[in-house]
Formats: sequence, C-alpha cells, structure tokens
Amino acid sequence: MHGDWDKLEDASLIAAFQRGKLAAFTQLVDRHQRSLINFFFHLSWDRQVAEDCAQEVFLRLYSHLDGYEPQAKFTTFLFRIARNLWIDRMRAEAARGGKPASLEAPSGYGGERPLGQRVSAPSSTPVDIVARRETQEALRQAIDRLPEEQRAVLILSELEGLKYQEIGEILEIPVGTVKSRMHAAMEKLKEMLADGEPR
Amino acid sequence: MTCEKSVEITAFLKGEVPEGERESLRLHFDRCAVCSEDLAKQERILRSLSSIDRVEASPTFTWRVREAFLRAHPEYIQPAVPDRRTIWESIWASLQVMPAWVISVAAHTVLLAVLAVLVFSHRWTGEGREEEVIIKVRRWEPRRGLIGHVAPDGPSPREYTPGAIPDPNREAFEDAMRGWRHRLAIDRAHAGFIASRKPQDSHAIRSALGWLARHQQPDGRWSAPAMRAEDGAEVSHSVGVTGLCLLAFLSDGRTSKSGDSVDTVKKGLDYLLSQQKASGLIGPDRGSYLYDHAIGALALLEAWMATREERLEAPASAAVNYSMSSQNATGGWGYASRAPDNDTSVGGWQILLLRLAEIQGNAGVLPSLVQGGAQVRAWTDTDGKVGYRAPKQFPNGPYALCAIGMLSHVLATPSPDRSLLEKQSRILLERSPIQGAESNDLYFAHFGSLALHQLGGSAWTRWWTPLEGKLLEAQRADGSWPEAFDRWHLQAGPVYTTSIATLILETPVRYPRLTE
Repeated sequence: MHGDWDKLEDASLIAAFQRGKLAAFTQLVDRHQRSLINFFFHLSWDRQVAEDCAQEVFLRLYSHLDGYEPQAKFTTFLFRIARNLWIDRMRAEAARGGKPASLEAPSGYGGERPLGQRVSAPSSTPVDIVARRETQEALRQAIDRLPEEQRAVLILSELEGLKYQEIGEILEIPVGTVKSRMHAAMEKLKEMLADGEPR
Repeated sequence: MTCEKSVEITAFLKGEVPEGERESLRLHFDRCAVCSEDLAKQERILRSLSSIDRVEASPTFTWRVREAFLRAHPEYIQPAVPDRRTIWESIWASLQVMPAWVISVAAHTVLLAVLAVLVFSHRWTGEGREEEVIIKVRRWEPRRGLIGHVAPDGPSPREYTPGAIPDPNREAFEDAMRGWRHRLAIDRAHAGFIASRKPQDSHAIRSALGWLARHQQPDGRWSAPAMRAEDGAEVSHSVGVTGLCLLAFLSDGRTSKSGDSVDTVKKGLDYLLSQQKASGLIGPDRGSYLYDHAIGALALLEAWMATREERLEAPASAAVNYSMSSQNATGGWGYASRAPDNDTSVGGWQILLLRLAEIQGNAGVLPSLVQGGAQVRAWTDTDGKVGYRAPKQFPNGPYALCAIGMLSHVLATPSPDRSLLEKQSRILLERSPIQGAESNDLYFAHFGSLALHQLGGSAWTRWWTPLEGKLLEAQRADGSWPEAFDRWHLQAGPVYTTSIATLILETPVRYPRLTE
C-alpha cells in the first residue's frame, strides 16, 4: 500500500489522512509543495519565507479539513488557505509597522534605466546573462508595484497556471472580476515597461 | 487612441474567452491596428513572465512539514475513536439491552479468567525483582512486522534476561528502557523519512552514482580487493562495498522501484540476497565479517523501508536479528559473531542498523541497542574520546573513533548527553579529515559528518562547509574520486573511495536529525 499513495486522487488522500494515515498527508505535501512554495516565493521573493509559509499552509490544512468538500478541487482549497495566510501575515507585518498591508504603495523601485529597457529575452553570452539577471529583477519589481489584488490574480494565473474560474474560487470573487483585474494588471505592466519593450 | 475590444486581449491570450467569441475576436485583432499593437505588447510581457525564476523545495521539506505537523498535533498519532462515548459508557449501554443470563455467564467467565491469570503467573515467575523485570521485558516483545521474522535455523534474537548484565548496570538499563518508551512515539514520526528521500539536484552526486553504476559487476556486486583473513584464507569485502554503493543510491532516493537507477539497485540487492545465509548473516563468516554484514543489512533495511518491497522484508529482518544475536556478553561487537574483543568501529555500524530498525517501529531491538550504547559509553573518556578495542586505545588516532562513538551515543541513547556531544564535536573539529592525499580519512569524514549533522548548529556548519568544498574539488570529471584520495584505498579499493565520498556528500539528506 505504501507505494500506492501517489496513484490516489487528492480527495482519496484527504479521506485517508482523516482516517489517521500520515503517509497520505505526506503524499499531499509532496504533490503540492512546489506550487505553494512558488506562490509564496513570487509574493515575497524570499525562498525561506516561501517555505515557511508553505509549511504553515500544510499545518493549517488539518484544522480546515472539515470545510473541504470532496467534489471541489483540492488545489483551490489549498490556495484559499494560502491566500488567507498571506493576508494574515501582511496584516501582522503592518501592525508591527512594517510593509503596509494594502500593498498599494509602490516598492522602492528606482533603477537607472526604465524597467522596460531592462527586460530582454534570455540568451547565453556573458553580457546577456547579466541582462537576463536584470530582466528578472525588472520583472520582480514590476510585479511588486502592482496593487495587491492585481498581483495575486497575476501570480495565480501567470505563474501558477490556474484558470480564471479557479482563481475566482480561491479569492472568492466572480470570474468577471478576475478577468478585469488581470486586464488591469497587464495595463499597469505595460505602463511600467513603456520606455523599453521586452524583446 | 483606444479600442473598446482591447479589454478582451488578456483573456484572449490566456485562452479564457468563450469558444464562440474567440474567432470573431481574432478577426478583429487582425484588422484593428490599436488592438494588434496592444496584443503584441502583452504577448511579449506574458512571455517574459513565463521565464521568471521558480524555486524547488528543499530536499527535506516534506520531512520538516511532517515533523512540524506531529509536533503541532500529537493527538494525530493516536487518532480519536469515532464513537465519542467512553468505554464504560459503551459497556453500560450494551448491558441495558442484554438478557440477564448473558450478563451472568459473562461475569462468571471474566472472574474465572482473572483467577487463572493470578494462579498461573505466580507459578511461572520467580519472586521479587526478577519477576518485575520479566514482565517489563515482555512488554517490549516485537510487534508483527519486520522483527516478526526470524530465520528458521538461525540463532534466536538476543534478548535481555535478568542476570545477563551485571547487577550494578541493571538499574541503568531499566532507566534507559523507560526513556525509550517516550522516544518510540517520537521516532514513529521519523519512520517515513527513508521513503521520502528524493534525487538531489546535485551534479556531483549524479555523476558519482553514474560512475558507480558503470563499475557494477554483472552479478550485481561491487568488487573490493581480496584480503587475507586470520585463518589465511582470502576474503573479499564485496558485501560491505556493495552495501555502501547501495546506500549511496538509496540516500539519493533511487530505489529498486523508482528513480533512474532501478536496475542497478535491484541487481545490487539481488547480490546481497544471494549472499545471505539461513542464519541471516550476509556474506561469508570469515575475517572481519561483521563489518560487511552490518553494512549489507543496513542496505537491505533501508531498501525495504524505502519501497516496502515484500521480498526484502524477511531477509532484512533476519539480518537485523543476526546482528542482535552476534552481540557479545559485554554489549559490544567484534569482527565475528559474539567475539569477546569489542571493536568500536564494527559496533558503530551495528548500532546504526539497530536504531534504524527501531525507527521503523521495531521495539524488539531496544535491549541490544541499550546494551550497545552502554558499552560505547563505558569506553568513552571524560574528555569524550572513545577507545578502539579498549578504553584509551587509539591505534590510528582518536578522530574516527570519536566520531563513531559520538554517533553511537546519539543513536543508542533516548536522550543524548548534550555536554558529551559538545565535547566530542570540539575534538572532531580539531582536525580536518581531508588533509591531503595519503592523510585523507574518508571513514572519519563519513562518521564525523553523520555525528555532527545530528548535533547541528554552528559545529555542523564549521565542519560541513569546508569538507563539502574539498570533496567537490577533488572529484574527477567522470564522477569518481582518485583511488589514492583515501588512506584506506589499498585495503578497500577505488569503489570504496567513491562510494563513501558520495555518502558523505549525501549526509544532509541521509537520516533525520534525531537530536531535535
């Protein structure tokens, strides 16, 4: 049985976990850790923070299981916990006088060149490697400057590859709102990259 | 200039537009200059976003989460009974609906059973203290599972019986056994660690394993030079070296069922199984054969823990039992079964094997483990050094022995003595195991790494960072290490050098940190 956990659907693993099978929990962690860690990584750009948050989501999962409906997609359920955890974290940080909870204020962007000029396609010469690092940095800063609700939609859609319907369920907003926020995020990115198009 | 249709561009590019509208939008975007330009810009941005950095989870992430979960929810280990009534409430509820004659028969049966137990248990046991000890040891009888198998014609597993160890130690033994009662529950949380190991994103480990795979013999063994045993016969350490190679693959999450080395691991295990005797011993019973046996047994046990492959369970169990049965009367292990001359190095491998068996739920090994730990402790100086074949005896220097002793102490004690570990860590940090060519001691590096990883903290960092760097620097392009890179190469051969160097590199993901 031990080797068969990876063949089970999420809903079956959750049922086994509720029956006291720790291996089922381990399988869920194995299966979903990468997407959760990257979700938090793209919000924080800090690998350690990302792993800590992902771990906390898995810990919270146990106390949230009563709210899980087997017919619902587990990823949606998990990301909803992740989203709430991030909000809690930002509120706590704001209460301590750190980063504002709304995230509406732009981060400390101030490069010598406009963002768009620093966005380029990956290539392999030393000069291009440096340029690629700059590209990554420029994109990070552009994403950071988006209003929080647009940033969440962009990360879930573009970096986690979720459909609008799933994003709506995670953020508990209509699909139409997901669509308009995604559009607004792209408009903002275009503005930020206006002086130099990504090549 | 704007176009009202441009709001649909992002959804269009993301495939989020209803099928019926998709074609008409595409035609519009082709014709409309504003939308066409906007669409090209957004496409470029989305392409850039797809190249943004992603991270992989740390190799121990799953294990850390499981540990944290069990710390946060200790009640999960013993899941709640679905029926929330207490046992007495349940019995009372049953009695309410039971006929009176049934209750009467049941009550008399219970009464007779209690009387029978009282009478017979008094006859079977002696008196006073011994009786108490027998009852306690019986509670540790192995559960069905790995330890349930004993080779049919092999010796019985060594069991603690009153009088087997001197009276002054008996109290310490009982204390240690009580300590293990608490430790068992904690160790259950570690049981899945071996199965959760995954291939590392490490070129050095990948290429080293590639070299090892290329040097496996057709029958599945990895060869070691023949050595002359005390009786004059030539004995090969192929079982031990095959065990080391298999451990290197298993530590990287490559098993006989998954990973990129299924055939290699399977053939290596086949070889070990082919060498196992009915007694459980793996390999020939000549020379310093308990080394080979312990390493081979460790490979079988880890392979079984990683895969739960049925064919491995009984052989692994018999091998563990053989190790217990080969322990001598003082609690140590020599080169041969029950040899009276203890060898701290051989004992280190046996203790590692027994602790791993305990982690997978085998409480039956505890008496052996406790006695093994007590023997190592008895040979430990006040400054932390551990003797080789007698206290204060260091024929090849104190370092490797101190590392083995430190690891043995961590593994064979439910609550390791932190101050002793710190003393020993200071000794290990006095001298790098990689000093240059003939002075390099990978055996010291191997046990030092396992021991200091258990301790963690700054001692581990100070040890690991330079050691890892030196190992990587010395690795050849084909994945191996130069044969003469290790002081024991003439006795152990090139496969030993590369397999043990690989195992050292794998230290951070080999075993859970039991001291936390």
